[in-house]
Amino acid sequence: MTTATFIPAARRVKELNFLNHDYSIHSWLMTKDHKRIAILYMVSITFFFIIGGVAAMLIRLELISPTNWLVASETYNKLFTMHGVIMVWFFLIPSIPAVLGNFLMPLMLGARDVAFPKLNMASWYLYVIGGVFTLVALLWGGVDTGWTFYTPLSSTFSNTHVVMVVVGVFIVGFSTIFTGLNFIVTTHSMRCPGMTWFRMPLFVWGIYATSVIQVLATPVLAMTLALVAIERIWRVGIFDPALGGDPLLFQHLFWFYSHPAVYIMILPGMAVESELITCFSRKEPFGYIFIAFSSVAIAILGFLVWAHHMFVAGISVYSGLVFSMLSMIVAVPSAIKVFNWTATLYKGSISLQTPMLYALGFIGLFTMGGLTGVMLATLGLDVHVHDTYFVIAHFHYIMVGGMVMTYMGGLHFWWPKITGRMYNEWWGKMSALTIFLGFNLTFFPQFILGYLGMPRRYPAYPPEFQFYNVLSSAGASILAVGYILPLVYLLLSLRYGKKAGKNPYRATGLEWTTTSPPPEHNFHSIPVITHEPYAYHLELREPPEEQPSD
Amino acid sequence: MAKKAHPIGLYLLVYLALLCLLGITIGASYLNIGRYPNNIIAMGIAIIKMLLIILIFMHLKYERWITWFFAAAGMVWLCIMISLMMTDYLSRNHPVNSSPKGEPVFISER
Amino acid sequence: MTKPAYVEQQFEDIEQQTHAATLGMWVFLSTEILFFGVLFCSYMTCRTRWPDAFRHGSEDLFLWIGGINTAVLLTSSLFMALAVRSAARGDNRRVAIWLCITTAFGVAFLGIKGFEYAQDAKERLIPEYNFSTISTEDAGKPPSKQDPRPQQEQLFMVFYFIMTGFHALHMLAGVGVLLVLLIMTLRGRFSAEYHNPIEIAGLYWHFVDIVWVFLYPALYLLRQA
Repeated sequence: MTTATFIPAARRVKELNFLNHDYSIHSWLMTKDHKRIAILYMVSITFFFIIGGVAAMLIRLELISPTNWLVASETYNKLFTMHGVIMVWFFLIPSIPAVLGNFLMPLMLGARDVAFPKLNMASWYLYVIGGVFTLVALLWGGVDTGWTFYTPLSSTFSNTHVVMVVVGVFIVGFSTIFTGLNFIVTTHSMRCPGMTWFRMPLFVWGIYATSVIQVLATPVLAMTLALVAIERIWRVGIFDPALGGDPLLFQHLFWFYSHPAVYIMILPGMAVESELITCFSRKEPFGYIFIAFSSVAIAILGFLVWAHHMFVAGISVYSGLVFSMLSMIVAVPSAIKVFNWTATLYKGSISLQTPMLYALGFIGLFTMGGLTGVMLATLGLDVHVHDTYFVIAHFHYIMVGGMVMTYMGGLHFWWPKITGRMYNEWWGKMSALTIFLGFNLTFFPQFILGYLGMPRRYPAYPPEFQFYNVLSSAGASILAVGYILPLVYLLLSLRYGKKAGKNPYRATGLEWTTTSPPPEHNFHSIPVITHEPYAYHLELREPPEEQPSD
Repeated sequence: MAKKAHPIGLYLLVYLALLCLLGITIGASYLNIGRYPNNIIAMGIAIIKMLLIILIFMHLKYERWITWFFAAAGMVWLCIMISLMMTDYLSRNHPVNSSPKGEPVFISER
Repeated sequence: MTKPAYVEQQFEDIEQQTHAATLGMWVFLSTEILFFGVLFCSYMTCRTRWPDAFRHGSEDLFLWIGGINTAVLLTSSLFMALAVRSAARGDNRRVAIWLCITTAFGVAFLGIKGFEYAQDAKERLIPEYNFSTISTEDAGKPPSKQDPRPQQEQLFMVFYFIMTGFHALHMLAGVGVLLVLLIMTLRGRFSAEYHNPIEIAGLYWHFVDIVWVFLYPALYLLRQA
């Protein structure tokens, strides 16, 4: 669907693609094109990442000293709450599905768009509206309950704008639900001819599994938060023991969503990881079927383990035993994936380009995070380290060391496809290394701190913990630099980057058969698939189309 | 995507069955048979009514298996939520038959 | 090959579109099951902890008003099914009639519910607002003959209002959707080839009915000690 505008003599021909066919604001804000919606999300989540990151910097600055030197305790509560709320709901959960998923799913499936483009647009608007509510609450004084909104603090005693933030999260929850619904229906009904389930890229399997979790878990969050808001406004007593309610009921309902939510956050990262490892090892994935089914297994098993967040909250010990055992089981599919990625690397033709650096970092850091998760699932150990920095280090290893690394890796990998430009490879590698170093310096000391007993969510601590806290804060500043660098060079690449061809990394997958950037309706004619995915063994015989810049 | 239009008769039959079941379930609530049998009958009849509506009125009987899967998924997930949550509530140390003695003072009782 | 106007650009043909839309609605209904499921789950856990108070609460509700409402809703479901059937045959006139009747029954349900809420207020059952441990029936009796309500019955009434309230909101949304469809039908937008919106609206309507089918016994009928 490209047209050539003929200009006489030596002028270049302008190829129309999804970015340049219409520059008006109206065409962007009223778009139904999944690729443009992906970019809208990319800009929005970067905005929220910066806000959440600023909150993190303030937290780490405060923790340099054992006393309250920077902020009062109440303000500190608001800082870590907003950091959590923004990072979880406004950055991590939408990041890969809404940005890369939106952009790539129809392309990878050989479709012209998702199943419900208008619903896709509505999802973005819901995200923005939810974000506005949360920002207003933030500017108006913030919330101090922690991102987990535990009752009865959130429902009865807190004096902050809980209802406003809860409404914001409620709304953004529906954004998530509709995105998940869209992807599920797209995967089922819009695959191109010949694209059977086992010929789909593993990225699609991962996003599909994520969508199933999104669709089944998020409504529970929505209603739970609605109940908190109702209790707060009308003092009804569902979570108030004095009126016959049970605060633990909130925790059960909240974690029923929030544990699967962490799988919403990591499964897309794993989905991207499969694509990166295969491309930069020039090999098909080891055990495609196992990786695909592990995604689904994680999605299902992830729903069975939520009370491992409540071991010391007051559930019965028999219930704790059940959930501890189930939590051990859920580690298995994740481990299978790590083994399979490692086996994919074995005897592969490895090239250490920027996306691969992120992918390799992911394997190591995710494994550490995952193993410490199994440690936390052990009832006895959890009694000791619950609510300490050990837990914080664990989930940051998975979320930041895992998820954010693959988001960055995926962003770099598909940047040429999305924007039509190559970024500067040297700066890319430097940033990846900076992030890796900064990350480890920030969060490894926190394992030690947690084990030594430093509790989380405290601005002041005993002086003997200061050494590790200072290390951690120093690491945080390096990490910040590592995140600012890509912001700069990726933006610069839009103007100064070398123009990318169709397939600069010689990867397999339908998205690489389109132009960079792709045309508005993706494919001139719907492709027909006749071969297996990841046919890297075939590609080696063809001359390379283009060398990536260095 | 049922491409067979049902005869009106089937719909009317299901409707009458639903009304009958409604009458039975109301009547059963008056029977003095103990708490658990009463609860099980009430919920059982509700499940039968749900199946009638879902299979006939909502045409699930004629849909593809993937639709069945998603229709069932919601219910299955709800059962997971309820059953695993009840492992906590049922194994706690609560007297079951009546309100415990020594109840806390209620704020609303001022 | 040109597609008819009612097939959107991302689909190849009407069958793909119909299949996608139907599957989409079923997935959405799954989310609604979990949305309401939270209320049922919470209700159940609280019932386990305060069985006496909740039984008392069930007894204080108006079983017959709820029963009539159930019959009203089941009837509206019947007419919705008839509307879908007529739509599949392209009989737009009948579709409009059945949709009208369905909407009327839906509105009747909401009206009866409003009346019931007013009766609940008269009986002083509204928690936090006018809840009284002595029912109006008992008010005239000497204390030895009274059967006071347990405090935790307020919690039961909280669940009653929240659950039926959310259900009523969904009914309201359903009525709105039906009115939109009614207008579209009168404008001749549907045909035997293209009537999927009516089908999936029917799915939604039946689902809201099913929620009530569970709400009614759970709230009104569990009265045995």
